[in-house]
Amino acid sequence: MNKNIKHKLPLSVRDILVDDILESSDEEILNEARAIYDDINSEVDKTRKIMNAALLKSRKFRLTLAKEQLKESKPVKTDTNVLSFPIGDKRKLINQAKESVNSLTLAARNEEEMSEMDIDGILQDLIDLGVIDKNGNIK
Amino acid sequence: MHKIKQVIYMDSTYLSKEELEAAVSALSDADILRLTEIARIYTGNHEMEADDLVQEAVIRTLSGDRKTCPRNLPIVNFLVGVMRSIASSEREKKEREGDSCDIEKCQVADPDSSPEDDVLEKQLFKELEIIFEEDEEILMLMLYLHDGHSPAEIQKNEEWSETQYNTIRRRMRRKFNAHTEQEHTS
Repeated sequence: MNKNIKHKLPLSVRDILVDDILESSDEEILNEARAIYDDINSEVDKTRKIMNAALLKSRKFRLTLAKEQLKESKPVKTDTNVLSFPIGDKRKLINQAKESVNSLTLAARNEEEMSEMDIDGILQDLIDLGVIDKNGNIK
Repeated sequence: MHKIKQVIYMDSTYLSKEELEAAVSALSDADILRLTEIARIYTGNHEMEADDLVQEAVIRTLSGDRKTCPRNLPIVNFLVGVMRSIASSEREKKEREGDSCDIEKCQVADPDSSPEDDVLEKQLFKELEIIFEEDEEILMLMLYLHDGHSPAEIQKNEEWSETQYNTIRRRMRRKFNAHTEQEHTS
């Protein structure tokens, strides 16, 4: 045990010193430490605190990563769900909106004659006017 | 289905991040002291503080998507491997920055690297020979290490038993420690 190593060491020497430390018994390591440190517990606690800080940092990193992955795996929602309805449901919805809001005046054309693009345009207008919400609920 | 998944998971070759966290949290006092001393050996020439090295090793072990500690390897040995790798990278980084080509500033030499490192390696061995000049067995060990022999080769060539080799190695570490302690107090 050496708390004052400030010496340059060749790689091969460094490696065999490390091997020796790894292969020493726990008792030998503790005895060496007792001969060097006034208080082994405070020395161990100091390193444990460092390791616990590293554990915490790592957990935070993994949590952030998991959140990002979750975010990426969520299906992309269209801004207006109602636009993904079947064409028949869209026509019904326009009719229901007309019936429920007396002051609403829609184009004179019959919904049956409108293209899907026209219907989507009307539905978007209804959403923008606040008559229906994005999920097709009449307000 | 869940049970099958669990069996496969438990039988995998590497520890999961959760198991690693548990293993790091459960390190014994002796293991903590081992890591502390090894970190000091790796950072012997101020390239990084020992505490920073330990912390960085734990963070790197627990972060990222790399394969982690094999189940059959003690977590301390794995962390030591990570510390060794970080310390080497730090040194290479310093070299790239042109900060440590000076022999006096370098801590270790990688036998696979530049001629400057070979010069440094020789210089460092000379310094150590002075420390161990009265111990012929340690000097012999140093000679083999300098020539790149493995511990097994050294034992075979010198006809040292594993116990003899370990005893010489232990003596070398203690003498080195005594020398640096003496340097520190004088």
